[in-house]
Amino acid sequence: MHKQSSRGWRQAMWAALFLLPYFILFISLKIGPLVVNFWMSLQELDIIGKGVFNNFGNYKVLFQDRLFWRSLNNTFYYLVLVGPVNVAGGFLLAMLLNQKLKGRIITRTVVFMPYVIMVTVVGAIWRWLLDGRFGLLNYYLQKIGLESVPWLSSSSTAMIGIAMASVWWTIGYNTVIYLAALQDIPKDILNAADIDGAGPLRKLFAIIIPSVKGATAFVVLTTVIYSMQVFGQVYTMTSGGPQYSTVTLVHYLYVKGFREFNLGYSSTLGVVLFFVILALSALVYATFGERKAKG
Amino acid sequence: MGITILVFLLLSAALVSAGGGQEQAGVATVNYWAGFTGPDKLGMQAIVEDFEEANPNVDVEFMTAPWTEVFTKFNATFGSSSAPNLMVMHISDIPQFADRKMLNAVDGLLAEMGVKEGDYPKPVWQGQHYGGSQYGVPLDYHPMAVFTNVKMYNAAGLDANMRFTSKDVFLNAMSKLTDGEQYGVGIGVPHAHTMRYWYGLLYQAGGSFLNADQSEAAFNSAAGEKAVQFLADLVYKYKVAPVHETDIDRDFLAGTVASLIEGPWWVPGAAEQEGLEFSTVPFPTIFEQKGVWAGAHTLVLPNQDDKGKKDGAISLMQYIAGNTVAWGAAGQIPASLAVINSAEYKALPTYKYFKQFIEQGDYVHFEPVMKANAEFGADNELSPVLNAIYGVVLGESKAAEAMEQAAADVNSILNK
Amino acid sequence: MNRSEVSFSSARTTKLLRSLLLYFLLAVITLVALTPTLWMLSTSFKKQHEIFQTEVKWIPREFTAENYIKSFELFPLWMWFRNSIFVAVLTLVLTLACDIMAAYAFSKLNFKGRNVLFALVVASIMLPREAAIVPMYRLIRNLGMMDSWAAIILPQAAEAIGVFLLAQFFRNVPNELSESAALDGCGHWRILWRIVTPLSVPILAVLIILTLVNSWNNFLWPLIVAASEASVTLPVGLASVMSGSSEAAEARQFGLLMATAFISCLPTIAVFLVLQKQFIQSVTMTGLKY
Repeated sequence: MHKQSSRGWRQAMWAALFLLPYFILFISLKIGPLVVNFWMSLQELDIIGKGVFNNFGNYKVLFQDRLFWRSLNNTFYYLVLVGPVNVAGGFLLAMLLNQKLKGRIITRTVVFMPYVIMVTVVGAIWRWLLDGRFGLLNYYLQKIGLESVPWLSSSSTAMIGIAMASVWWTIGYNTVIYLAALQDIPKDILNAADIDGAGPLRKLFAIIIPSVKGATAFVVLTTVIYSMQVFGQVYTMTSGGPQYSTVTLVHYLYVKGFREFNLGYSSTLGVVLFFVILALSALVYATFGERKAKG
Repeated sequence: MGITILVFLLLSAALVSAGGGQEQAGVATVNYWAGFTGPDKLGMQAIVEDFEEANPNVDVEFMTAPWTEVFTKFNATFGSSSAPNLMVMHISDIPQFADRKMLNAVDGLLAEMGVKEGDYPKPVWQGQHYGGSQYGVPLDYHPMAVFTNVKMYNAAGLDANMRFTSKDVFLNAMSKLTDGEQYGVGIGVPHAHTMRYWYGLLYQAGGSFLNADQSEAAFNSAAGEKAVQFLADLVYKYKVAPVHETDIDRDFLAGTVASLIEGPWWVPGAAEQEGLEFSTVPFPTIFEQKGVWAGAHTLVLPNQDDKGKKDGAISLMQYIAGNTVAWGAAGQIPASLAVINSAEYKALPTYKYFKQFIEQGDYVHFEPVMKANAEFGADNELSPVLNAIYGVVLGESKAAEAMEQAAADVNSILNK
Repeated sequence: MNRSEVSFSSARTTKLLRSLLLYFLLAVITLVALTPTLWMLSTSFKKQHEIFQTEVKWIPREFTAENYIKSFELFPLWMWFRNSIFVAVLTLVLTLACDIMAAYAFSKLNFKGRNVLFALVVASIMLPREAAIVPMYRLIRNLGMMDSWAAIILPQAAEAIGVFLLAQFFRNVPNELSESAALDGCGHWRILWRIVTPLSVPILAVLIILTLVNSWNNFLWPLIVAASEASVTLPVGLASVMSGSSEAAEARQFGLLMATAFISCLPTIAVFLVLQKQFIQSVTMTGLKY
């Protein structure tokens, strides 16, 4: 008994020592700021000087802020444009790459490669590609008889342009995850299905899709979370325009805080972002968690 | 192995603290920030290098970035050792920073720097003041003017030095220049200049941006509507400007548009373009009066503690303010009247282009010199006025409604 | 069985058609995925007048390297690279040091509240960084660390993904090894660095790649804290040039921009092509752990 507790104490001390460096950073730069952010959202805070508590004033303004609702709208629109394409597309691409085809490694490489490129470069490439007059996309659209589209300079198509760039940038990530998950499916199950005479569609829906449920949960969760945080593409491609059609939540947060010096309001937007992501994560967990329980 | 890690960590810590710039003893390092990008950046760099040669005990770190970034970083670094010691700003930027006590008043320094009120155009001098103190030393001012492509104008039977004295003269010329894939002029969306064109036209039509005591928006008037409608009409009604024009500069260079309304900073770059023959003429007078938007750059002294750096900054400020001929060559119009009337300035090879900008000096209009301009000025990509104008020029909203909405937004900003 | 009744040639035809279709899809996808990168390359070697013409030519008629030369002349690329490299390496060192120790504590040591603490750390992985940048900014500022490498490095070292991955891996390292080492008189410090860590090379490789890539491509936070040339990292430096709203002449010189873009992503692409397997592994290992 005595030996155990002294050993226990020693372990606790070692643990404290080992945890200390990380936790100093963790508390001061990860958890701390997240918590403090709530507190700051209740203040009128300029970039310099002390804050003044304004009795939920920021929240009252937020509620009536046209541009805030627009940014929320835009962010969800972005999610709708990118999410399904990235998830379903990633899955289909992985299915394709899972076939024994020569040269599929090349395709896998090429599809994943954009992911390692930094967002500024992605934005620059696509800004040029989507150019209204000299852009490559419009050139080929016209070649097949369609009209050229003003992409980033029209408020109805700008977000679509950004979505295209984002899909190119990140679909490789999902593809690779799905590919690993597909390769994990035991061959015997698939063989057994073949013997039973199951066609490809049945195999897909009855075996493959359920088997990659874990990967799907992860892919959906990360896609949703990263979509809510979209910023770099907006900053380098459209700066929120035209006509506020591409202002996203994080972009608005940045402008309010670091261009208009309204840190208090910026914190409030951060709080909104936090809760939106929390709610969506919970939703994803609930959706996929349920299936897990049933299966 | 653990020891190795520790040593490595300590080395890294040393490196980390070293990263971010070294300073030599006995030499004051002055951080000098400006939003210039392009030929004027190079011009200012040359002036800075000349200063450093003449002042070996002052080392200048010249930082440039787009204007919005410069101000964002100024805010972010203020009070730290990376903050700028000397900056260039627009006079419309002074209020927001002076209000936050981020700038040093320069009234006491003017005498020793040899800066006199009479040497500058009145609106430029007045713009340096806020709340009773003067914060800036004028550097330059820059109105808009029209760059004309000589070959294209001649081909259309027009004189590239023609004056656009009325709406009809302008439209007439533009139609002659528009032919198939070629257009008379470019109205960029999104491009902050479009709001600047509108600004000039607003005053030409007898309107004004804000009311007399700057408490309310006044541009949602017939004048404001007329001004923005005219720009939209150029695209959709008269069809002399391309639809969804994203890049007016490039299109002028490519020969897609025959005229480009830009600032004087564009002159040096254009002069260097092989095969481009151009001229400049004053901003077109479309409505009843003459009027054109102008901005003005000014040198300001941020609030700072380090005396050595501050002195260095002041001597740099004095040097730049007194050597603006080189600055003029780089493409801005020096604010000092003595300089623009000097033989040296007039001897510049590009003077023939700058003349037409200077001509407009008597009827330039600056953006309101007030704190709220940070939110609704042309430099803020989320400005309600800017976006309202884009909407009309894009054909997505109606002039009257857009102006009303923008005015409402500006009023709510003013009333905060 | 139905299959044996189908004639041989018909089955072959179906198989052939299927193969053709799949190969066709593969080719199309490869092409589409490569196009933006190739177009960037193509544009970077063109002269201004060739870029702005309505006919699209993939191979420039007048091949020129002037955009690349100009890029180095106009922009402090060397500084940006230097800063990015130093920040990435230092972040890596700090992250590895902190994460390895913390992971060991969570997986090999027993103490009160261990599970709760670990759950907190893991939960923080999904929390958005952006919801904390305002307080973080004030903190960095109040500490006088603005515009320094430390300002960029420290927040990233606070990320929890490394702790999570390492802890999961360490858990699977058999305890017999550490127990016998303990009997030999080895303290936890020694066990961690001399036994557990060397056995964790696969997961360390994953974490190394993850940390380096995240640091290299980090954008929003460095955009806020880095100001002077001495600490601006590559993505931030590029953004000041390539920003769409920039009125700078360079923002529209697409030949120059594409050359600059290519120079910037060449290192990462080169490393990726060489270490493909590890890169992809680092993604899948993070993903499938959930």
